[in-house]
Amino acid sequence: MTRSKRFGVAAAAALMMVVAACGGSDGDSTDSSAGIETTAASETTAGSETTAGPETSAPSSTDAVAPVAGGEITVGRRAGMFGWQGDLALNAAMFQTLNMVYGNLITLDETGTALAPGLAETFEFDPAAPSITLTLRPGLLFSDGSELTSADVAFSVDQWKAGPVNGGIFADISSVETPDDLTIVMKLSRPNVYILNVLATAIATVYPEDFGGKTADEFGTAPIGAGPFKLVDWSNPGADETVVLERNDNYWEEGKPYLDRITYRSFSDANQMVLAYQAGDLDAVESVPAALVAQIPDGERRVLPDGPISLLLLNTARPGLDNADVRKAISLAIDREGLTELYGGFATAAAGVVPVNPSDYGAPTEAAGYDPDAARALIDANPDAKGLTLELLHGPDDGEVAQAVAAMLGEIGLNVTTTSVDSGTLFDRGGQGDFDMQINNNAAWPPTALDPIIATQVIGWYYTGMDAGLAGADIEAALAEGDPSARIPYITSIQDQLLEAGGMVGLVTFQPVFAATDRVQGWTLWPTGNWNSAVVSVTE
Amino acid sequence: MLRVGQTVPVVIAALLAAFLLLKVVPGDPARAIAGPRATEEAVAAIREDLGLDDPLPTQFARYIGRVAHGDLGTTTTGNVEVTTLIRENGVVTLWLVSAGIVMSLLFAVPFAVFAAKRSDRAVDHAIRAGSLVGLALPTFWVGMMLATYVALPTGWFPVGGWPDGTLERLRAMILPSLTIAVGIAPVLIRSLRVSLIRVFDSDYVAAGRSIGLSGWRLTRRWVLRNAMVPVVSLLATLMGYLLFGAVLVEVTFGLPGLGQTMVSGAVNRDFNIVQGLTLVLVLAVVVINFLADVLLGILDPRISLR
Repeated sequence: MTRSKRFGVAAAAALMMVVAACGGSDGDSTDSSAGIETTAASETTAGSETTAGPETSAPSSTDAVAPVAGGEITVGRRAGMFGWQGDLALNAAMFQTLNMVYGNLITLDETGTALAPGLAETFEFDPAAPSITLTLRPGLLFSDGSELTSADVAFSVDQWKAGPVNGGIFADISSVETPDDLTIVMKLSRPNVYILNVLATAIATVYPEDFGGKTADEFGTAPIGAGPFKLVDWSNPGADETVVLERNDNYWEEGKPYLDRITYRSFSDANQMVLAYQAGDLDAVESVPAALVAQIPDGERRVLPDGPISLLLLNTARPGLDNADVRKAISLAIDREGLTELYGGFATAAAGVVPVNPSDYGAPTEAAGYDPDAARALIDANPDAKGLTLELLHGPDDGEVAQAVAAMLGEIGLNVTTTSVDSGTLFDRGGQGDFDMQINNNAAWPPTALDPIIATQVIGWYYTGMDAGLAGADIEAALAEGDPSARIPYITSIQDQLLEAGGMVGLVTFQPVFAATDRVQGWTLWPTGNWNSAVVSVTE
Repeated sequence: MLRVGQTVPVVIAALLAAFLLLKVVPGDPARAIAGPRATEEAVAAIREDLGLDDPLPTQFARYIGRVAHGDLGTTTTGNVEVTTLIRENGVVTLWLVSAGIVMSLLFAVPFAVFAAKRSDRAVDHAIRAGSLVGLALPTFWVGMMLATYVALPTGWFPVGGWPDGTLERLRAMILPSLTIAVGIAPVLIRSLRVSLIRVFDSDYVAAGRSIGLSGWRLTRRWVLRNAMVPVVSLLATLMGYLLFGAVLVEVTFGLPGLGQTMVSGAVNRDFNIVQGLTLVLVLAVVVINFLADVLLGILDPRISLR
């Protein structure tokens, strides 16, 4: 064989390998789900009392092994960090990772549904004063060994309030008193139990006073916290970043965290992330896209029963949509059960407009229904609505849902075009009221339904332009109620009024699917989609 | 000097285009930073902080002034200097583009020579048909297939990522470069084949044969050198394309290169990243084409005399 012939044969063989590879099997296609289940629990916050509901988590099969200190895991996820300031907490990655670095004044119990002592060993919401009083654990240290005192918390409250993104949440804190090194009294301008719940999230991170001598920008890339882990590396910030966290030896929980190191790898491509998991490069994955869940072995799936809610937002200022009957018709035309199929079964039909995972969730008196005949009758009875042309904006991940919604609305005589835009454009056009309809999501990060309600209220009921005073009395009453179970009727009433107004139409509630190998122990999801990193360990 | 002078308006035009493009597309960078829950007041505060309310000429002049001092700004996410980001991620892209070109040549040269020597015979037709197939395969799909059905079951190559260590990086480059080669090699094969056939039929090759030259010696010294001239021009164009176009391969294999950085910056409306990368990539393309001209002059001295 001549040299050129040998070259040709080798190259042809290489090409054959590529072509042959295309005809292989498509892997495991089973889709049954295993993993944890969580249910709402009761929780009271009168004084320092916190009572958790029944433990209903079903840990993975290997969780029975006693945790062993040491080891490390690598976790994959889609999103990256925006920074290390609590004010920037906008997505699951931020809420999870900031908790790991900063800890929280208040945390969640093992079910993730009730408030529990964190950096503060007691907490009290007093609607009469009104105030929130916290007592820090004695001897708390930041990861650099410096002492954490009430002065640090007071400084942090100022930072929270000044935050351009989430600062408005804390507007009701009129002053902060620190009678001693361990006690913090937040005076409120009105009763606001929502703030108490937010203290259990990454939005309320505790910084060292004056950022430990650093500028805010310096601190924002090299933070010091009192959480179970400390940041040691944040490389290539953005879609393909790597975050390396190491054990904080000064963490307050004795013997925790178990792991020495957690490495986060972000992936702009979900396929690549799942491949890396299958190849053993990742020990766990936060939120696997529904289309790829089948590639995760049954026993390694962790399904969160109720996650964020998907909403169809209607601009009530637009001609046609300013008519309540048209909005009602649109809601009636949506086959929510049908939409769940687009999520591979990892979704449930939305009954209302609020995520169902908080412990104080109150279902609407009457769930949003599907009645295309009634919807069509409403459109036919309204001459302005017949043949109405509307644009439906959606993000890159919601294309299929948008097409389905457009088709459903087409069935009742509305002409709907769909436009895919990036998330920045979606928010921007929403904020400016430059849209007819859009699909967007909402989540409850603190364990209260007040979070998604107030968050949407402050932005014009999620850009829809519904009356800002809508459900005002019930919101005020709920804010003054410390007992989550006693808030449920208010949440029900608020949902009823929002459904009646019709600017927000609930579509489906996602069931996020996470994945973890058997090597990972104690990786139990809270209903918020976060997990307690301090109790995770590995088998070797 | 004339060539260098010609690049100045090209760079300024590219900068201006990138600057204006981000201004006319919908989407507010302040809103992208603030997220869905932020009030309009909060978004307005961020806009002011970023200087986005200033007149466009002011913003552009401010940017040009910074660039003149080597300051490409910092990223919105992470507050990282754009120059640092380009330096770190540029290494990945350089590895990828270089490996892709080498792999493409490893495929293209033997196949093109083989086809040219057997012009219009069955094997020539088969190679041309095969190259058409390669050209038609989507890069993203090829990469996914290689990662799923080669890397995953065999474990010979990583499914993605950018490991530490030269040897590991070489291993990590094989499938991405093969993916690039599947798309690029067919173009090179077809170009080189035509060029080779022309040279094989030329008088000076006939003269070479008449003095007893044959086989690989004739091909390497007399044929390939002359036939490579159009391929070098094509390669320079392809390298410029790859600098921008490698993003699909970078995404597929989880490589943190410049392409991914550019897309991420554009999606997040991170002006500094997009403008900084545009500047650097345009400069890179200009330099590559300049070097290609020099190489062409070496391969064919007549070119430099023109």
